[in-house]
Amino acid sequence: MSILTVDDIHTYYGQSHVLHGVSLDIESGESVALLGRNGAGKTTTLRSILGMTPPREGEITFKGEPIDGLEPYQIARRGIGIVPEERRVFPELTVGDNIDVVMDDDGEWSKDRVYDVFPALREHQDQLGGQLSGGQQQMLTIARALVTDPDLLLLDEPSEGLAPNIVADLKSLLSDVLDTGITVLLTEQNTEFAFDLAERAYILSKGDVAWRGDIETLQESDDVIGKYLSVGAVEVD
Amino acid sequence: MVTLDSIALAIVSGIANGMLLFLAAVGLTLIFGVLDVLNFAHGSLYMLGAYFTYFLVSDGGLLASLPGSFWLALVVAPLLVALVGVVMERFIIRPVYDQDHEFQLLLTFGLVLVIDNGARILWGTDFRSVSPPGLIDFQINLLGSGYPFYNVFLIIVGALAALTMWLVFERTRVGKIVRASSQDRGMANALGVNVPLVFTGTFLLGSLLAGLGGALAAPYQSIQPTMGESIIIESFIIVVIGGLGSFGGAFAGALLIGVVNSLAFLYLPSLQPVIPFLLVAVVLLTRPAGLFGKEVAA
Amino acid sequence: MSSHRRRDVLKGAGAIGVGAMTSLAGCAGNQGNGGSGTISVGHLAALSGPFATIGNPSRDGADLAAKQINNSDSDIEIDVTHADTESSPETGVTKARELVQQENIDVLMGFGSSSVAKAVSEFANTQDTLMVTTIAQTPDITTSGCNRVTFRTASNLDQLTTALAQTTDEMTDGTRIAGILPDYTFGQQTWEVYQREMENLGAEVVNETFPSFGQGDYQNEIQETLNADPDIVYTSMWAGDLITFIQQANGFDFFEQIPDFVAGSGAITDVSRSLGSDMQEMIAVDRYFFQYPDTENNQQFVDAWQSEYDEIPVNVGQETYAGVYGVLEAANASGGTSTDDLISGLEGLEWQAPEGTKTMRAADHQAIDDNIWTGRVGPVDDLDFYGFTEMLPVDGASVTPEPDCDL
Repeated sequence: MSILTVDDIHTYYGQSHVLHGVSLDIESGESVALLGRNGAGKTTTLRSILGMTPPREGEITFKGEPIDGLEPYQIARRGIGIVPEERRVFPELTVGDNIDVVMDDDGEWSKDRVYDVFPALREHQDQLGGQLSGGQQQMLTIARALVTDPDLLLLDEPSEGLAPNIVADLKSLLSDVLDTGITVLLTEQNTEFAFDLAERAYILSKGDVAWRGDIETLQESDDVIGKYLSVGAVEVD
Repeated sequence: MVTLDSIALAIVSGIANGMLLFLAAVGLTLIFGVLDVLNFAHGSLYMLGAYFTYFLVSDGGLLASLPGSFWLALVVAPLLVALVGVVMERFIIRPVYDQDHEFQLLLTFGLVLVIDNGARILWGTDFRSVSPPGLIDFQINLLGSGYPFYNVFLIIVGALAALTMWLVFERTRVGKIVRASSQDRGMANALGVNVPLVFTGTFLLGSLLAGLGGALAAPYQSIQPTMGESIIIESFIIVVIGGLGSFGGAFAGALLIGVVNSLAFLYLPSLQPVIPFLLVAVVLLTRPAGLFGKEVAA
Repeated sequence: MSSHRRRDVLKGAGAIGVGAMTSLAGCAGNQGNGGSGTISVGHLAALSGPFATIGNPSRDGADLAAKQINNSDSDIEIDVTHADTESSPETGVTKARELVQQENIDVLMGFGSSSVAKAVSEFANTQDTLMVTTIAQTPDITTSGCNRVTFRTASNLDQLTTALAQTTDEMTDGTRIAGILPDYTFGQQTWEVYQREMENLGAEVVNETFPSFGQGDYQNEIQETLNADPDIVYTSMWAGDLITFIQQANGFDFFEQIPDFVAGSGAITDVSRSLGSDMQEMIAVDRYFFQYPDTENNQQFVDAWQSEYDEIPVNVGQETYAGVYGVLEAANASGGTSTDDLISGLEGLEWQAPEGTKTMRAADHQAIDDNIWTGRVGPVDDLDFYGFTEMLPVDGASVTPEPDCDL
């Protein structure tokens, strides 16, 4: 059954109309990629879901209930975890404190469990978030999202700005996380990274869904990839 | 003639005065750090703390007939000020969180006018004063001179308040949540932290401390509706020196202003009134973000 | 139309009733201020901010005088308009201009702050409008800065401070004096006079400190003064600053160590009332203390004030009240209410204030009080705050310097 339904949402930044009727449907337990060029509206879609930039029109339903108009923290507490773009760890808190401040004590993810998945974090648990390397910070944001005990994990460009070997490590760590059965919606520029992790994809273009389907189908559709995802071209809104 | 003893006494006096300044300024910096609102009306909360104390302990006051009325007032007056602060935050400041700083400044400046003039209309312009509580109205011998214990008491209370806050922010989950919210409120909110509640709580704490400062000032300074105006200027100087939003900065800045003022009295009395402004200038030129401020937002 | 003829018309109109008279006077206002039966007083003082403790009683004094005069059978009515100078010379002049040019007032009165008084005095001279200072103590406006339209109906700081120095000498034995002076003109000018007078009487200055206005913390001044081991400590701090100083000095047992403390601001009632039992014994000068003199005239004033405001009158209230009556008497004496009439009426005028006879010296427009109230302040039987335990009034004429003014 659907865990998240996004129905025809329109989102604005001030006067600027960014999302023009995006609709998504995510099943419980699946892992879905949200693809598209820079400026296509991927991050805005995630921000809309979480209420950080509430849509002006359309409806968002999570676990059968509408979540429009709720504060981000209320939506988060209903079971949506976010791994934001540009990582945004709490720079002046230690790794351990970054995790503690958002921990759901009754959740499935304890501190030990995330440390087991990300041993590097245990090693640096007393270091300040701002002093970690980029890869470590990305692990921390994933761990931080997991301990909020989400049913749906939103990942915004997790591979962005990381060295290739780190991206590979991150990919294998994330697939371990996916194996736990958590639902994932991730945005990516790195199509290969997304293809390896996701089962299904939505492609956004100019603030609307341009294509939807299985990853296997997408991988074989050179025309779709060429039109919406090819590297080097930046979509102009 | 400046002797070592007089230097030492001046430093102690500077610290005592600095603690009062710290209590007034720390809420200003906390609220700025967490809520990103520069609350001009913070000095008015300090003024209210002094007035509430006066009305609780003076003849005919609510607590006047009770033994230890000053000590009760030291608890009740800050709580009343905290209540005023919470109402202020919820109903007046909250609607403008997303507005420009200029707008917020205008609004909180308007609050100053409303509160100070309200006090003037309600309570008049007569000066009021509160007697120091008998229990601590004695002197200790400090380097051969009598020194009022009340000033030592100010140092103790200020230090305890600073230590408690430091422990809360460094050691407790609530404190860490507040720090996380101040570092990235959008992220904290998105991760399930009830940021509006954190804001209200921070405002409550800041107001409580301003109220405590005002209550402690009641037996130490004359009470009048304009007392908030002078303390807010000193508070601004302190938080700019210490670094806007920095708790440790407010503590260091307040003690620095207190002690430097005191030493200036001994060595450069004619410059004393401008010393705080010189300090601000020096700090801004050498460390624009203040002594404890972050050079660049992370 | 000459002022005398205008007055006759109004006398006739009196039969029709006060309302008609007021409206006639209102019409006449635009044609200059000659001869109408109403003197409109523009009362200017700080009604907000820390100086409001002076401005508000002054306002009440003006209102009470006007009310009494208008309820009496006086031919002349007094109409009072208040404006807030906010203690700023610029605001003071702006408000004065509004009052003179838009409200057509005849007299500018009040002025708590010397700097405001100076600025408005210059402005009033350009407008040929009478200015009556009832509060500000700076000698300047009746000496170097004196002019034709500016009068002061209260004693100035020269007179008050000289009287206080004489009384200090009378009441104390010590010769070592220390000063704690507010760091602005008033503090410096009072100290200059007190120091000069005391040195003439054989005293020496052993210490002086200049805390800034509203400083809030006096620990250093207190310690330094104690270290100098003076016999007499003089201060011209006043109101909130003096209260704060006494509170903090109490903590140091300052007053147990200093044989004599002398307060020279000319206002002690507000400090004494605010401090209650924390008040200290001292030698002080007060421009007016409601228990003195023990005359019927003063008693009537105190009763009227208490029934109007439900509190005792303080010095500035009495001074502005007396100022309004001075202007009324000037009009009666000269038979007119134009600026020239009022000036000629005021020059040399002798009139009764609650505190006694005031004489306006024509040469410099400075009033000379019969009595300047100095003495020892302490607990007194019939008050719940400190009053004068020993009163030693000084004859105002004996402490008034020769005129130093070129009118």
